[in-house]
Amino acid sequence: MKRTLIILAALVALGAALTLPYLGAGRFVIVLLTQLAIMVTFAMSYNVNLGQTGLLSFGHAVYLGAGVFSSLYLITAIGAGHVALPLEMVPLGGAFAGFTLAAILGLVSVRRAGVIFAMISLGLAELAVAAAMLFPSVFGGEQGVSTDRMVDFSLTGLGYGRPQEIYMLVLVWAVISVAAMVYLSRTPLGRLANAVRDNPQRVEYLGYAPYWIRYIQFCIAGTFAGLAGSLFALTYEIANASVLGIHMSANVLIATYLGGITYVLGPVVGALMVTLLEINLSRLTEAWLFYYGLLFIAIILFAPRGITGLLVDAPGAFRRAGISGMVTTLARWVPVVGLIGGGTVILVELCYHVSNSFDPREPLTLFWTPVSAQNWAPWITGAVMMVAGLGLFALNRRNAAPRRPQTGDAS
Amino acid sequence: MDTFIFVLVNGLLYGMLLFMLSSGLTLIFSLMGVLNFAHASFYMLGAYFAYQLSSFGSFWLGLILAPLLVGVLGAAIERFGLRVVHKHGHVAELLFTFGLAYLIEELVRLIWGRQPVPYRIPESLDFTLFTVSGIDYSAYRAFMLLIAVAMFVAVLLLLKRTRVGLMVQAALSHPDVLWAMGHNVPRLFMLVFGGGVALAGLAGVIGGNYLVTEPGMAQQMGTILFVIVVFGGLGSLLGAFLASLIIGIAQTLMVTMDTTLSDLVAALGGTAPNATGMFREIWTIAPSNLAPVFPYLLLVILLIVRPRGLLGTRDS
Amino acid sequence: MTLKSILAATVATGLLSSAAIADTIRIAHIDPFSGAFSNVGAVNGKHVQFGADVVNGAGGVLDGDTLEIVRFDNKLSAQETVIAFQEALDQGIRIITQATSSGVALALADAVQKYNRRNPDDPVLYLNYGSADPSLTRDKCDYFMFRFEAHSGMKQAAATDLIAQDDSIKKVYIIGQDYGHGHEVSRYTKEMLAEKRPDIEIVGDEFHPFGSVKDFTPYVAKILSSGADAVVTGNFGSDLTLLIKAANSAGLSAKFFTQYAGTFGTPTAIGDAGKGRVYDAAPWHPDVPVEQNNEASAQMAKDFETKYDSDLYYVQIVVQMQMLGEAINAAGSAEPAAVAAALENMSFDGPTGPMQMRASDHQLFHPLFVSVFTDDGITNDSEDTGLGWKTLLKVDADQVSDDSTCQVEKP
Repeated sequence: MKRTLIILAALVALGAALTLPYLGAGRFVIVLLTQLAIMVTFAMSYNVNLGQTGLLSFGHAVYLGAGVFSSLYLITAIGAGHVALPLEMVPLGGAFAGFTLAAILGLVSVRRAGVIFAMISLGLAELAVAAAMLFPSVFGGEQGVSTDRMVDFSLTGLGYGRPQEIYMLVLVWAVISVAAMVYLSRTPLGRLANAVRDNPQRVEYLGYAPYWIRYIQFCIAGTFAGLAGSLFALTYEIANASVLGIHMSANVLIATYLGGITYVLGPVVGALMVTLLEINLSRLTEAWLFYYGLLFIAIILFAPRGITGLLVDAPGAFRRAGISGMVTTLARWVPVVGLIGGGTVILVELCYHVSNSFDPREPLTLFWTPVSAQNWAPWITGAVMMVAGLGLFALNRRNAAPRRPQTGDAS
Repeated sequence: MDTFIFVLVNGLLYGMLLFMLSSGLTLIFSLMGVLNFAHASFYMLGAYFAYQLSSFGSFWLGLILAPLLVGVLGAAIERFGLRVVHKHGHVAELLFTFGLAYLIEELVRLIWGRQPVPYRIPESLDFTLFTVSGIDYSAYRAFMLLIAVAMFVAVLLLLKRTRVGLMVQAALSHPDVLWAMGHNVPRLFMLVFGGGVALAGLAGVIGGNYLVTEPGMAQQMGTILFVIVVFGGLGSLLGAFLASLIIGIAQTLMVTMDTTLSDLVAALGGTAPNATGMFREIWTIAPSNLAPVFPYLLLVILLIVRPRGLLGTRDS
Repeated sequence: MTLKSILAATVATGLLSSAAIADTIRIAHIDPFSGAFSNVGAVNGKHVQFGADVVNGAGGVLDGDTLEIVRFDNKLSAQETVIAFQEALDQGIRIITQATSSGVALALADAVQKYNRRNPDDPVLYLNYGSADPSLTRDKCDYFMFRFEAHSGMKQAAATDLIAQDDSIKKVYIIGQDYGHGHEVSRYTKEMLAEKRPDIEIVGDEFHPFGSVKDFTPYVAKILSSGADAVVTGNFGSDLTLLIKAANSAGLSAKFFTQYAGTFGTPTAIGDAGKGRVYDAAPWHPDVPVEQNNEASAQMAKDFETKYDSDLYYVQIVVQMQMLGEAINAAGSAEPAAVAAALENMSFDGPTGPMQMRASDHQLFHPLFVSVFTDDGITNDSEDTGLGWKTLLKVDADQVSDDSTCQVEKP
């Protein structure tokens, strides 16, 4: 039942991804979808390390960068006629570059898991960034390396000048990659990787070398990161050293973790959510970073298994509670969330308006009503909502405490 | 020779500033297993609190109160945030501090604005102490060194002579035993986290006016602190101290080295190849260009050779 | 009525109404408005908005049409810039302005050029209000791109003019950030001084890592032991502040020739440490209207300060908006192709003197002021520090030199 549901959801998502560009969606939606496909591939590759093998990496973007730069050069070489490769096959080159780099750096990285691995990955990432800055002849310095993807050599005969065309190419490769990674997680290798994550000693007693299992998984992750890098290069046609920086690595870690690292498709959910939030929240409010941080902390505090965990648990929780239970729970918690959330938004927006807007004297629009930040009324409204919400929260907690044992599993 | 001494003294000062930041981090990391990504944010808060307090009263008020405020804030964050996340594992804790760093930076930007604030060195310390071969050494730098050394001695005494200190030491080397002996471990965590970030706050108080107090100062500190903690070895304050000094002095010393590969070839009597093509910069890179990445190189090599770090008492 | 006819009717009325009330000309301003670089974005945003207000306040363009600024937050990421560009295209905006970070500017220039090449009937105009990187009007010059502020080479030409006049300077030390801009400043300084004052000895040519040096004292020690009388640097932000503070604390008395000491936050951060020793080459400083006895531009600076409670820094942004307004009027429409043709060879009577757009590479030539940071004889101080800037050398637009040989290709 659950399985068919997941497959159905995946098919619906895929169908939507395929048809959206032809429903008159603008360039923004298309480039947004392309970015989503790239990030999904990248996050999936990250979870081969983190979720499946237990390797926390701070430098996964290095392998993405390997794919990006090799592909940029490869596309230019194809355009100049030096390499006879159709444009559609460029991601294979990026994947190869990612694999090669991972195969080299993996040798020294995966001796141990845990903090040691994390710190080596951090060190290597900083070294890679520094190297990229030191060699402008290769990485283009601040200007970066650019190319033109209209190389007149493709299998389908498309020119790939239009965003829709490149989106289709990226989507196909992203789907292939995600499917391949899901498949790999179900092979004996994937299971062994899980065992290495949970208990490397026992795996060793069984006669397998944890080192080599980690190494193979690390190479797989690097390969798909390189492929994602290739898709990046095809989409943007330009990149500088910042693509392999710590910021990119941190982003993929956040996306993967928030999605839920214990689920095969958790990174997909995470990448979709984080990328959509990052790009769209900033179009709604100037304070987006603040909300982003709050949301981020809230998920870590209250949803330890990520968004996917919440989604998976939700049907079961509904069934257990029954209709009447649902209604009481909702009646109890909706006002709390509404009051605290609304109060926070009002206060944060007012603060940002006073502190950061071009002209604090101008009215700002809060919940579709123009208000002046120089009046006391909105401030008091926000504060009262906040206090009332917190009071209700304490009340609910006290009411709920005797009946429910504290499990820490809040949802 | 004079320049060399000057560089050495400089490296020492920079190393001590790094140590003030990494000492708290190493205690937190070794004891709680939390890689505190928000540590530099508490350093920034220390600087901003001190700026605010010094605009009310004097610099000295900030020097005393700001680290205390930061410590109390840190303890509260441990009590109501980190402790809740603790049971979800180390990655969750790490990401919690990650999110915290975001929030603190945004809050600072919200309260004190986006531009640097004029946090100045107190006039009573703004004079030249002595001059070595034409280079002035300001009194404030000596004062910073003094504070750093005083802090080091105080932390050592605290660890060696007090009951809490002994508990921390016990927890550092044998974390399980302390649990078994029935000590209040959560309270110890809260104290250590509060105390650790208070040390970072102190570094902010004395570093903020010497450097620049701005919302980006935490991010600029970057990941160098983790390098020091891991390089020094888990559970070793002395290791962190040595690592800070080594990195501080090495970086400062490298800045003075300008010899490039082509210079070297020329010195050996050869002629450097005409630099063209990819990677041509290899001929013109001097150690001074490599100073900022040197610690990371050191870290990677050390971890490959000796995963427990310089003076580490145990593996991860 | 079929669905199709309803749709057609809606589209038709939409078109009609937009033609009838087409009273705003929208300009996309893409810059970092949130996050670590929002300080830069906010300051630039105020200037762009102010420039549009100045044009609108003077009666707007054409028959009372107004300029409207639509802001897009790119978080200083090249990818988000490209996404924002697509979104602006979707909204029908065909005039884009941006300049923060040369890396982002070059990525946007690349995207705009590719778009214009692939959509020759519907071009986009890119107004760069002041990227420092010379390459934008050199090897990357483009018919649809205009730059309204002198690049680092032109500013350095002015700065070296002043150095050449100062007989007390015998030894010059060059120090800069180890990336594009720092290297450009170093190269220009060496070339220009060799020509203007061959007797000056370059005693140091140093690059330090970008944004990661906390203690500049070791560099200052090197400068001190070299015996330099003057230091030339392209540093900005905290790299500049820390350098000058370290120099002050170590007792280095050399003069500092900079390009960014007068802008947001740096005068505040430097304070007394820079008094009488920091020189700046820029198109504007708060005392320019006083020195030129120019009532109109004094009023403009005052208006800006009353409105935004901050100094007017980027007069060239205002100039850009004014010139855009004139070009639209001259062309009789806001179509990019027509506006570009009108801008191409435009002369403009700016707030600091006559200015001239060079047709060959679309670089604006305007007066430059090399000034010293001082409290002596200052009318308007900088950022309420009690210190301000005093012009030592004014270089008129026709005296500013730049040896670009780039020739834009007309489409």
